[in-house]
Order: sequence, then C-alpha cells, then structure tokens
Amino acid sequence: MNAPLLLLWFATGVLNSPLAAAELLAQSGQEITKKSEAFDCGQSFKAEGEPLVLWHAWRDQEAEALAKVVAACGLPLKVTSSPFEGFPEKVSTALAHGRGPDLFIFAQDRMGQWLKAGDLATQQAVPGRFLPVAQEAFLHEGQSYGLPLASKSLVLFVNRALEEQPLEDLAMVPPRDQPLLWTTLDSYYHAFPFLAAAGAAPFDEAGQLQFPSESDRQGLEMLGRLVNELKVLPRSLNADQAKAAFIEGRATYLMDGPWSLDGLRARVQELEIRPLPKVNGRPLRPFLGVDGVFVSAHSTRLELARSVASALASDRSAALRLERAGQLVPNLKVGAWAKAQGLRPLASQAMAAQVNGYPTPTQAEMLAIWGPAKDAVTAVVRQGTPAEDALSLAKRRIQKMLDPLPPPADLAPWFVVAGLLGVMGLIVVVRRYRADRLTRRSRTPLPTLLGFALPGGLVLILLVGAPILTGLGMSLFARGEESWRFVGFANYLSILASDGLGPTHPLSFWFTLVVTVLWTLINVALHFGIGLGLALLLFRPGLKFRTPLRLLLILPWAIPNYITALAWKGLFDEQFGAVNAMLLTLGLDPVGWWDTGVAAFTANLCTNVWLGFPFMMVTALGALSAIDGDQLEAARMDGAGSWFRLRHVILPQVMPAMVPALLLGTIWTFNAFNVIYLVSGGAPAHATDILVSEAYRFAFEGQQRYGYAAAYSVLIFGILVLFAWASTGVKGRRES
Amino acid sequence: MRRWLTQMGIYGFLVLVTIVTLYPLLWVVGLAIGDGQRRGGLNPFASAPSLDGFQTLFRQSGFGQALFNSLAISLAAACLGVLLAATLGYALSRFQFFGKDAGLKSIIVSQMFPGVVSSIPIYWLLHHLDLLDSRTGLVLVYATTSVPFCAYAAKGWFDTLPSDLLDAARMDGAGPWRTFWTVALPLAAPALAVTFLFAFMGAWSEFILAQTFLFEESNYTVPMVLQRFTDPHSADWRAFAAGSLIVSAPVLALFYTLQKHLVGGLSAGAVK
Repeated sequence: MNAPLLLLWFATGVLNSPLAAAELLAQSGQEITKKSEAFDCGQSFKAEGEPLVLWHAWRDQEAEALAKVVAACGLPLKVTSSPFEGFPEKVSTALAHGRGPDLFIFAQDRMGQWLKAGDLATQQAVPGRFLPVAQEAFLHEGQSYGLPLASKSLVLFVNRALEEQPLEDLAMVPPRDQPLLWTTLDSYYHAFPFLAAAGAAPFDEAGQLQFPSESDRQGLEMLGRLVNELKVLPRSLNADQAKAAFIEGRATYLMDGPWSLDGLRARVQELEIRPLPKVNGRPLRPFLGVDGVFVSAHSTRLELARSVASALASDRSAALRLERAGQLVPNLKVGAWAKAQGLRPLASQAMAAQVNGYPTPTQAEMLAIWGPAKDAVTAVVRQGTPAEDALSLAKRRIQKMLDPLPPPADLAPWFVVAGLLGVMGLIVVVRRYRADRLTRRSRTPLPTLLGFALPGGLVLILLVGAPILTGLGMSLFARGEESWRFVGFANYLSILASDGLGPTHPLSFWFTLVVTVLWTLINVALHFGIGLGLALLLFRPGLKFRTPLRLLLILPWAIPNYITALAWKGLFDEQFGAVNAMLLTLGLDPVGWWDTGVAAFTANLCTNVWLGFPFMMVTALGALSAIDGDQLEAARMDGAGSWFRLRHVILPQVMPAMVPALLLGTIWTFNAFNVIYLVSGGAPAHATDILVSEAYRFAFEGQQRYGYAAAYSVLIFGILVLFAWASTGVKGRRES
Repeated sequence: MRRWLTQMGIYGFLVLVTIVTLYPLLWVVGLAIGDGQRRGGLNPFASAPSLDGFQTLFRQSGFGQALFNSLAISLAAACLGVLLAATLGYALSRFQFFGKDAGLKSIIVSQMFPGVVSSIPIYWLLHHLDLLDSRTGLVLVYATTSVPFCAYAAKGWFDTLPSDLLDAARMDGAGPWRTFWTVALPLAAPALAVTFLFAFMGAWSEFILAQTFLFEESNYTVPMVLQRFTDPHSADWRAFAAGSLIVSAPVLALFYTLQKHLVGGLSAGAVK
C-alpha cells in the first residue's frame, strides 16, 4: 500500500475508524521503511564520545527527513537548524571564531567564500553514485569539497487541465494580453534562464568573471521583449502572486522551484513538471543549486566528520529523503529505484526537468553579481531601460565592488595627529577639572558615585562606547581577503564621490542623503502633527470613551514593528493589496507601489507615520496633562478663542516637553532601517533607500565591505550630531 | 446646536482615525485565522476561519522553547536594564561630580550612531567572554541597548523630585542607598514602568543580533522562529501571522498594565 493510495482511502471515507487508520498507517510505514532499507548507509557508527555538530537551513519535511536519516544510520550527530537568511555568513563568522559546526549543509554557490577562508576539508568523491553534474558542482581545482544531497532549480509547472497545446517556444507564441508563463522576474536568479539561453555565463571557461557579456545583453533584451512586447511573461509579480495565479487556475504555466511542489501538488489536480521551454529554439537554462554536505577543516575529528558526511550522502539517506520529503536527490541508483517504484512521480519528473540546469558558479565573485544584476533586470523589465545601459551600470558597480583595495595609507601622520589631539584633549580635561574643583565644593563622595554610576557606565562603555570607537576605527580600514588594511579616508572619499555617479543617480550618496532628509522631515512633521492633534482632541474636557480610544490608538506602537511593517507591505501589494482595492472602489486606477520612487516612498511613509504617531500622541498627552489649568481657564474667561488658547497658552507649555521627543523621533526616523528594509526594500532600484539601509547593504550583502559600511555609519552619525547641535543652538538662542 | 455638531464631528473623526489605525492589524488577525489562501479586496477575513495556522506554529519544533527563551531573556534584560538605568539616572540627576554633563551628553549622542557594524565588535567581545550562543550574553546585550534611553528618561524623572524630600531622608540619617531605595525609587515608579516597557519591547522583538549570536536551536528566540516562516522560497504567512498574534500578546498585556504611567512617565522629566 503506498502513500497516495492511502490518501485516497482517507479521502473517500472508507476508513472512518481512527484505530483502523492508525493501524494502516503503521503498516504502510513499515512497508516504506522496508523499501528504503534495501539501501545502506555505507558504514556503521559506534556511539562513543560527544556527537559531532551539524548545521543546516532546511525546514519542515526536509528537516524531518534529515532527522530520520540520522536515526536510521545511527549517526553521532547533533543537528541544529538555522534560519536560511544569513546562514552562510553565520557559518563563516562562527568558523572564524572557532565556534562553528563540524559539518554543515548548504548550496554549492557559497563554496568559494569558504574555500578562500580555508574553512573546507576535502572529501572523497564517490564515482558513479551521483549525477555527474551534481558531483562536479563541488569540485575545485580537481578536489571535491562537498557531497551532493539535493538539487534545486527552476522548472516548468503545468496545469494540464488548462493546457491547449504544449508550450514549446516562448518567442513563437502569438501576441496576447494575458501572460502565458507566470513567474517573478525580480531577481537575477529568475532572469538567468533567459540570459543563459542566449549563451551567457557569468564566468568563462577559465573561471574568469565575464558578466556582463554580449550574450547577457542579447538575453536581457529578449527578456525585455518577452515581457513588454510579446507579453508572454508578467511584468511585475512576486513569487507568491505568480504561485497564487497558478493555484487559482488563472495560469497554465508557472516557472518555480521544487520548494513549491508540496503547496502546488495539494491544490492543482492535473499537475505536471517539465523542463523550462525554449526561446528562439534554445532551451532556457536555470541555475542549478545543489545542497551538499560540507566538512569543516577546523573540526577536531576530521575523519569521523568525513565518514558521517559520506553516510549523509549515502543511498539509504537519499532514498529516505526522497521518500519522506520528496527531495530531488541526484543519486543515480535511488533515482532509478524511485522511478521504477512509481514513488513520488512528481519528484521524478522534476529531477528529469533539471536536464538543462546550469550549476550556480562557486566563485566568491558571484556575490558581487547578484545585486547589480538584479537591478539591471528590474530596470529592463519594469522601467523599459535599454539592456545595454542597465548592464553597463551593473558592470560598473560590480567592478567597483571587486576593485582591488585602496592603496595602504601611511600611518605615521595619523599617529602624530592622534597624539596631538590626545594631548590637547587631556589639557582641556585637566583644566576643566581644576576649574570644576574650585567652583564645586559639594561633590558626591567617590565610593557612592561609583556604586551608582559604575555598573551602568561600565556596561555602556563596553557594549555601546567600544563598538562606536571600533566603528570609527573600522571606517579607516578596508577588509581584504586575509587581513584589514589601513586606507585612511579612502572609504569616505569613495562614498562622497559616489563612485562617479551623478548626484541625481539613486545610488549616489547625495541622492540618498536628500531622500533621507525628506523622509525624516515629512515623517517627523506628520508624527508631530497627528500626535499632537489627536492628543488635543482626546484631551478635550467632557470627551467620552477617552480611555478606550487612547488604548486603541497606541496599538501601532505596542506591536513589534517587524510584524506590522510586513502587514503594510501586504496592504500595498499591487494585486491583492487592500490599498489598491480601495482605489478601485473609488473608481481610480490601481498603483504599482514598487514601480516608481514616489509611490514606494509614499508606501514607506504611510507605514512609518502609522508606526510613529502614537509615541508623539502619548508624549503630548503627558505634556497636556501638566498644563496649568488656571491659566487656561483665565484665558477662556477673557474670551480667548480656541485658536488663541492653542497658540498662546497651550503650545508654549507643551513644546518644552515635546522637544526631547522630537529630537529622539528625528534620530529614530533617520535610522529607521527596519521599515525601509521590510516595506519597499529600497525598490525601485534603491531609489527609496535611506543612508542607513545603504550602509546595511554594504555591510551584509555581497562583498561585506565593513570598512565602507562603517564610514557610512560615521557620516550618518556626523549628520545627526550636527543636526542636534544646530537645533539646540537655535533653541538656546530663542530662549535667551 | 453648534456645540453638538462639533462634538459629533470630533467623535466621527476619532472613530475614523481609529478604524484606519486598526485596519492593518485586522489583516494580521484575518491572515492568522484564515484559510491560507491569499485574499484580495477590502475584507480581511476569510469566510471559513480556521486555526490551522496556529497548528502549524505549534507543530514547528521548538516554538514552545523559543517562547520561553524570549520571555526569560526579555524579562531579565528589562529588569537588568531598568536597574542599571535607574542607578545611572539617579547619579546623573542627584550627584555632583566632574564629567556629569559630558556623561549625559555622550549618552544621548551614543544613540545617534547607527548600529550597522556594531555586531562585529560585540561578537568579538562575547566570544572572549565566552558568552556567544548563550542566553546570558544576549540578556547583557539587550539590557545595554536599552540603558541610554532609559537612563535619560529616569534622569529626567529624578530631576522633578522635590529636593526637600530627599534632604529630609538624609536628615533622618539615611545613607544615599537607603534614600535611593526607599524614597526616590518608589516615587519614580511611573518612569521605571515606562523604561521597563521600552527595554522589554526592544528585547522582545529584536532579531538581527539574536540570529548572529545564537547557534543552538534550544537557545532560539521567538522572532527567529517566526522569521523561518518568511523564508523567500517557502513562506507560510498564515503561520507567521498566527505567531505574530502570540508575540503581540505579552507586549499588549504589558502596555495596558503600564499605560496609566505611560502618559506621565515619558514627558514628566522634560516638563519639570
């Protein structure tokens, strides 16, 4: 009895006794295990000593299947599952500090980075066990550094119930007004099949970077035509929207990966999986990512780790993972067995559909390509930018990222300047101290003072002060492959010169600065206006339901903002979003919120205003409740109108309490990384990025240029300090 | 008549604002108890509500453990943060010493430095204190992040306490610590409540540092577990929304317990 049949039994209600169902499940479970038991783990392990540590980023079924493998083969492993996002960086950092795992599972495309850092141990390749392309993905200079576990690439999902005639060639489809092949095109990953069909490859035969090449231009131009002229591909969708269209029967074809298989299988009756179609007679070639098991070169028990890795890649393991999680295992024997058994037919189809896969390159330079290439694709597909222009910008940005480090700067003058500044500072402090001692006789005794201030002060110095100083220092360095190099002001100069891009280019520092200032000004003004306005209304004497209203109005503040920011992103969704639904009801056209800078900025703004007004409202309420009631009453007696009372009695008393809140609000808004990152993500093409989100991009995306990001932080810091100094100066002058 | 109209206008306006404010939250609720399909339109609720989202959530291994971790870490961080902030704030407000102004200013200025690269030195520090991958390490980091704002708020509040009161305690022979514990601290309860709330919220929803410093699944916090439902390839927004409701519950409870103090605690220091 196999699993699909079992499901059918359930569905038809033959089995309505839970006991019988459980029995049957147990039986079938036995049978399935018997089947995969035909394969072996390669070797057996004795349980002695501490287990090895394995990190992976698999989820749900894949993670459960992995646990089954560990149990079935008796592997001495402690398995830890980590979030997918940031996984490779986490592994790198942990390994560098000697805290990493013995083994870890990830796709081959980040191998180059680990190889460079000397983190990977070689592993014995097993000839004839795996699909050659999967095994080769882990080769580097003739050595194998990983064993393949599961392959993942984009394939073509077909809803056969809707298919009129087989889709052969996208360029031959007659013009239409509805897209035919649904997919997102908002990444280099999703656009690559089209570039590769034109013969493009990011690296040449010798492994040298060649993106963007002439073939990339042709491929990207073709992609632009398919979207904007032939309209066989959708212009702006995210992966969820494309999938939803397919599930709801609005789309016949979907380009997606095996990770979506489960969700689709449950909801689309006549599902079939095929290789991606052709364009102009040439097959689309998606990136082929192969999840493999790596062994850390820093493991203290290298031999044991290697044999555990080999067992994780064994036939038994492959059979179990295919059976339990439908993983596409590039194991020849198991693949043939599954096909013969009719086990997981869709997984078999998907494996066959990967025939034209192009193994994702392992070179570390690949990290520099993803971002700029993505922007080039979006520009061509959504904004209709000529492919040549988009690619030449991408090329410039990639080159900039891969540029050799700036020349080392001479440390000597810096030491001299630092020494002089230090001495001067010391003199100032000593003189002030003397003056202070003369004027202030009633000083708190030192032990008391230290008792109160030392714990907090020490922790602040260690965990706030030291990181800031490190940041200041870091901004003068550039991170090379092996060590840091002192480069003086090179990072700052490079940022201020904006890589030679004009000040109107969204990627230039000056453009981002203007966006940031506008962002902060409008936000704080609206926070203040709305907050104070609502506080005044809520403060009106005789208002009923004051407390419940106030409680409801502070909700946006109380709920963690990573949740609400994502909720707002959903509201602004072009297709499903409530904002566009509202516009439609009002008889207006829906807006593509991420297509233009102004629209995306507005979306970010709405989110952040919503998030921020309650803080101002609460502060204002507090300030209002401290107002001198007699004065207000006197003004009222004198017949002063409500405007006059607001202007001359209320505001002068409220403002002193609002100033710190305004200053704080300005700082928070200026650095509101969360909102930008979660809502617009900088779209379109970084036009809505603010300074701090740019800094994050440099630090954690692509090349991890920490020095550069630190210089950004220092610039932001400088701007804010200037602002604070200027605004308190203005305040001071007004008061005097 | 005109008065009545104005009154109605105000109520109408407030109700409208409240609806706009609540609407995005209704979508989170609707998603959490929905049928898992993406919905368009203006109505956030599915016709057939279901609790499957919560089921997925609780079946996700480690959610209970993460909930416990988050609660423990956030409570500890908030308590530690308030304690450090209160003593520091008291010193900054009531004591006379050299470098007081500079200290206060640098606390404010430290808030202006974006924490983009701060995780690198902190990682190094935790590694050398052997506090990587430990909840204690995270408590320490979270407590410190909240100290500058909280100390500033506490200082503002202590400034408003009448000196006579503290002097009277001193006359009665109370040392500085007794004065602090028995007179100043109880009087500062509203401000402390607010700082506690701030510190707790900060720790409760922080994700990036937790993800960087924690390795073992048994140490994970709730935002880390929730983050897994937003993986680009296999997002499960319903489970995410269900988790969001659970995550919001303690903060809401805390907010509403402390809301009486919120209004006064935030601004009193500045009004004087």
